[in-house]
Amino acid sequence: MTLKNILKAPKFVLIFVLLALFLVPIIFQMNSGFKALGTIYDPDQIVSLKNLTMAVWIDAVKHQKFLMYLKHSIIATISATAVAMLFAIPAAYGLAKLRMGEKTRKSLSFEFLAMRMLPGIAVIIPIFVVYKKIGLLYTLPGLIIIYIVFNIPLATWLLEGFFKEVPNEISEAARIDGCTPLSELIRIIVPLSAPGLLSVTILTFIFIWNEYMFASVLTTSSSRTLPVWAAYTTYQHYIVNYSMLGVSSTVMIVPVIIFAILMQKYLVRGLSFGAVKE
Amino acid sequence: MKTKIQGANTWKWFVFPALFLVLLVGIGPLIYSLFISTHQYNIAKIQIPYKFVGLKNYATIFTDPHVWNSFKLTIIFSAASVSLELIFGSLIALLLINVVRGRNVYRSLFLIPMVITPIAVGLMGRYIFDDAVGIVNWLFRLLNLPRIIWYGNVKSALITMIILDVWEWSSFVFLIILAGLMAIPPEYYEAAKVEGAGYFRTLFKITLPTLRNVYLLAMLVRIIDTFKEFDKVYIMTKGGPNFATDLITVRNYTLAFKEFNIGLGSAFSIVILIVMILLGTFLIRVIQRTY
Repeated sequence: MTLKNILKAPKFVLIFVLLALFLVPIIFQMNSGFKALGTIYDPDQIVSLKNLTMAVWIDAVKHQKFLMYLKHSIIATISATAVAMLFAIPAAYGLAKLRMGEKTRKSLSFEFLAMRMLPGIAVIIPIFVVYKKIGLLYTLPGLIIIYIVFNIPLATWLLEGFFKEVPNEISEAARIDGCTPLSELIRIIVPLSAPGLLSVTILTFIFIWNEYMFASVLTTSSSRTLPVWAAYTTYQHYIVNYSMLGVSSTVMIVPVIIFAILMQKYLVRGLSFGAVKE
Repeated sequence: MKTKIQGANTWKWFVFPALFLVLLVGIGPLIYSLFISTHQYNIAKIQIPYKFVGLKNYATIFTDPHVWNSFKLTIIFSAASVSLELIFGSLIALLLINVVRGRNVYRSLFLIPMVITPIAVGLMGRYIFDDAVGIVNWLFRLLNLPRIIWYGNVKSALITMIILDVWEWSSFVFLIILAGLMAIPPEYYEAAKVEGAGYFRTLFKITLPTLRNVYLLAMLVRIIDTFKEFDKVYIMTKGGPNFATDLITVRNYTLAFKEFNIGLGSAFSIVILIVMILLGTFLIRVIQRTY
């Protein structure tokens, strides 16, 4: 081993310690789903890997309507993401590529970004009251509408950044050939910014999948999504059910972790409002 | 270049549907909320009649010690979390900047805490900080440190929330600083080398000025988000024990959806909204001035 490698060693030790700090708690939490309540409340078996069981998972599927809530989450996430993108893509194209006043462009674009700062608590109360009046309260479609609307702004803002990267010469050439704006969007802009489009879609998907506050107010036992179920099922008895906590958390975070690892590069850009481009 | 197909109003066909939806369902409720906030409105207690009360709800909010407490806690939570995240994020970025092999693997792994469901983070906090069977106290016992009642104790509950937020979001700061560092064109460093600038001169003349905007952006995002923090704190303690983690959003949620005092909740949410707008505008001004 050369001197240089020896000097490097403490650095990698530090990196691995940090990684352990970040990842061990998640593994510990996931592991709890495979422990029965007796094991989990035994102080001598805190880090033990013995006595693992699938019983809690089976209980979740059989008695906790877990599959129904998983289905709600999947339906809400996929449909709201799809519709939000259908609105955001044309809006972003309009802002990025079409002829309009520079002032209007900037202020509209900023408005879409500013929506990101809006605290959810400020809109949830009136929406709750209105939904109660028109019968959308405690229904899944009601929740989906909210998810669509609240994810359009950031998606539009991020997509605008990606669409602007498509060289203007290409758009102009297309227009000379008689391309209408709509066919330019479909045939040129969308295919050329496919990676960006995919990353914004996945980011929107993650935001909706993870959402709790709206769902906790606007759903009930027949329309809950996974995060609301997770909160509910952990606390429904006199003791905190750490086993069920492990099951519900694992189901929520595994898909997100897979997406995060696959889309790492683009997610950073999405999460920093498009400021980090790389 | 002028084309026949693209008129001056074409953009409206593309932008207006999204804009309309956002204004209708996003901004519309805010206006309705202003209206509700001037009414006495409790959906759980029918003995309290629905009626116009003017600005009385706002007066109640501003004289409620729990509301002032929640603002105080939010400011402490935000200031402590954001500073620690900046420190830890920078530390990780410094550690990993010259690690080329496996960089994407490291970045993916560090990305995990910030993308996983916040409710899962809160539940995880509940479990790992459990004073009897949590892994944190297990580790403390191993190291002969005293057993701490983390979130069940008025003194340490907010600190536990701060630790959890730092755990969740330090890697956000790390990732954007790393990207910022990598975005500095190598020619800058080569030019500095040619001119004979040393390590510190390069650091202060090239690296830090370029990174300043990255830091400001990280602060902007994190300050706004810590003011909006709700999920993990609510799931862990519901604002307790004895209001020790009662952040503004938690207080507001409790007022509106646990006590069902919709009028009062609306007034509070309008106050929060105004605070957020002022804070956001201020932070954006600071960033624009330094550009």
